[in-house]
Amino acid sequence: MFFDRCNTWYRLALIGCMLLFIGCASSFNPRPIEEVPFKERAQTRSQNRVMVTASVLSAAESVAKFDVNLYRRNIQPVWLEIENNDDQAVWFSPIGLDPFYFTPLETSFIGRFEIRKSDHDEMDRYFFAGGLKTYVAPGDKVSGFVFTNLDEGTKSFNVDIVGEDNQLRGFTFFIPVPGIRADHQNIDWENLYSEGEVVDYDENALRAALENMPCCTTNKKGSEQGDPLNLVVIGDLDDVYYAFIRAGWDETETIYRASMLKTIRSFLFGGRYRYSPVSALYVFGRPQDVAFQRARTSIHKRNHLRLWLAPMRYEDQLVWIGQISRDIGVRFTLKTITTHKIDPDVDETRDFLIQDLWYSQALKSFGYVKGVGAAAYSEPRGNLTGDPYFTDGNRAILWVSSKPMAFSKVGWFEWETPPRDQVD
Amino acid sequence: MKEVNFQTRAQTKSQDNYRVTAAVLSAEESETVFGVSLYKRGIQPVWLEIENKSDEPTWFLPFSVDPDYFSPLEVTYPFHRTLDSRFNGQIDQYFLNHAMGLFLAPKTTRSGFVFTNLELGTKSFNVDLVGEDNQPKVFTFFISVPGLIADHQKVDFDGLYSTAEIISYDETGFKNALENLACCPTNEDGTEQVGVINLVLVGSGDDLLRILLRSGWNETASEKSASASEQDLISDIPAGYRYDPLNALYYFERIQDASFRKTRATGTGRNVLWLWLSPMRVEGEPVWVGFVSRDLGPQWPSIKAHKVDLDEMRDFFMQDLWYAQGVKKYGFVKGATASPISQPKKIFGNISHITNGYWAVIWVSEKSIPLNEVKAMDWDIPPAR
Repeated sequence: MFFDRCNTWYRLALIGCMLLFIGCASSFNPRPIEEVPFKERAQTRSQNRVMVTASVLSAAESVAKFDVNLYRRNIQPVWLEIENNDDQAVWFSPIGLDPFYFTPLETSFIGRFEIRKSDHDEMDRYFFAGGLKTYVAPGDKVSGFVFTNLDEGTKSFNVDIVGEDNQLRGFTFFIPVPGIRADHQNIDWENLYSEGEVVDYDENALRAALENMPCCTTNKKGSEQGDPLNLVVIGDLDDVYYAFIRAGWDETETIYRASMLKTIRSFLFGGRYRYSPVSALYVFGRPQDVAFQRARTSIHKRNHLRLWLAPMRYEDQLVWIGQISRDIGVRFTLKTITTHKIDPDVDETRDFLIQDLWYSQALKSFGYVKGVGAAAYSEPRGNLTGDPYFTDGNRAILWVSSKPMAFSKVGWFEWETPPRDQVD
Repeated sequence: MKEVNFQTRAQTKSQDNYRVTAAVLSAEESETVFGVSLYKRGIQPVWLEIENKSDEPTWFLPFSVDPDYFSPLEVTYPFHRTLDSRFNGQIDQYFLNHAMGLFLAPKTTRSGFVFTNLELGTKSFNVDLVGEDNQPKVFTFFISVPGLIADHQKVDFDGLYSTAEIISYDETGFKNALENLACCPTNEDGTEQVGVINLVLVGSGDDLLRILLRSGWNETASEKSASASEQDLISDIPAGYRYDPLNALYYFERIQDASFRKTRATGTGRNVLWLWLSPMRVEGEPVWVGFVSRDLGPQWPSIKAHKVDLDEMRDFFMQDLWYAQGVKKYGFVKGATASPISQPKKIFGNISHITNGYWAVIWVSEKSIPLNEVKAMDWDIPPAR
């Protein structure tokens, strides 16, 4: 009887429920907003008599508030409150927050599978009423939810508000989301270097010092050389962080059990787990301090970058040395069973990063410096897992900016000439 | 490569001391040039020839063509053969040699390929060049990709209305005329309403197409006349559903003149847009009537009743064009009766629509309009929700 009316999805769901002994298609019981304490983490910004408060709900808070596991469906509710103290009306545009946001009724539709059918109408109304209104009259205050695509780690977004006076107010938020343990959160920044160890450099001395940095990462013992250190990043932790996140890079998790499970799942099913951990490479006798990745549509295709804080300062900014590579597929090795095969043309990946930061207006200045040592296409060197690579031997220098920099305002270190040709 | 004649379809643009010629390879041409089926992997080669007539070294930025472009060795890796290093070496070398490099020496011409994410219909992209002054020179291309003929390419727009049928309005007359239009698209014989109009767009067809492409909408094949080869092509490429024909809806007693999709990367939630050219002109510009909605996906066809908030979709569409800097001015008119969430309007199957009945009227502009220079018409104001 039941099966007659249901399609495959329902059958699968039913089997899934029986296997897991969890409740399925229960009644709809969301909790009142006061009982879910996400507002304690809210951040507030003001501009020209408009005040915006924002908070990002964790997985557990989303379940409590909406009685549906939205994270499992890749949906993350962002709570916003907009107070308009101007004498003109203003409008909020959700597309500025996430161009692919979910509408409230769409979210309800996607989540309703967990709720019994007789409650679906109530559920629709609940989500609909909880959606943020886009129009804010003078002197008015509105609050509600925008249903966005899931980001773990730090969620970065803009809240764009345009007034009837056609004035555009842009508010930028970087809000940590509970649930991911990013690499850099484990670092004891204070004690990495003592004051005496850190050296301040002027431009010429910086160039010489960077040329003398090690060519490559190593294994833990320091006995074997790995991927080339083809990046130098200048900027304080916040600048680095804002710049990369704005350009669409994600933080990564340190390898621990839960994240390994998440990785294996996305590996098997080809899904897009954007925060999978990266393996450790070593510089200064320690694994990377910060790692980011930028995913495409499948876990097999992503760019990885790792940074190590160097005991150097330039114009009062921190200096980082790093490594970037592009995964182009998966292969089997004796050492690690499976590993991501990297693009042997590491310069191509390095130059991609320059463009990426340049177009996201996150670059203050850039250039190239020697130090990696050239390796020709016909005589490639190898990394720790045996992937060959070739390079012109230059590192890219990226002076990052947390304030948006116009494309044509980006500066240039006149050191080495930029790449001319890829293969001879 | 000389045997493949994609260069005959190339377009050329010149600016200052630079000339850029671009061509997009079809599925067959890609296979002929590279010996492997790139389309099946979602990869589309774009051929470029750039002449630097200046005295300055200049760099080409492939990121401008596609921020998710593929590097040459990334393209070849999946085609590598186990235990055949000679073949693997050859294919790597071939792709590297045919890649478009970044550096353009003074007084030279350079050509090669950029490996982009596959798009059918009309491919729109920029080619940015930057010299030592860091000032970008931008060349914009709209190039038809052979293989898929979009529905609007089969419509004879000039023959749709005779000169006598075309009515010209000033702004005030235009608003009144809009209020008298029929509210809803119907099925073929006009017996059932299958949607509610929520958009009116003012601008030439070319401008409108360019703005829609710029903000990420895809053209679609026509349901009635998609050929077998078009259907094969769509089903053969990754995420080919982006180009699936839309349902046939009827307004002005005919099927839509143009239809578009915009999908999320995950494939869920596909925005769908139907457009009809009207016999109206306002201050010389053509007027299009449209219906924008969201298809929540084909996965649960029979069991789920669902509601689509047409106002949200209308506002989404407006913001979409606004962020693509394609809106000159806009206003709202009350064009249909309201269907609030307490009384949703049932259309086919279990889908219902909710709307306040207001239509967004948008004057589009091919020239970029900054976000804060968009004009609002002093027309109706939709009720706050």
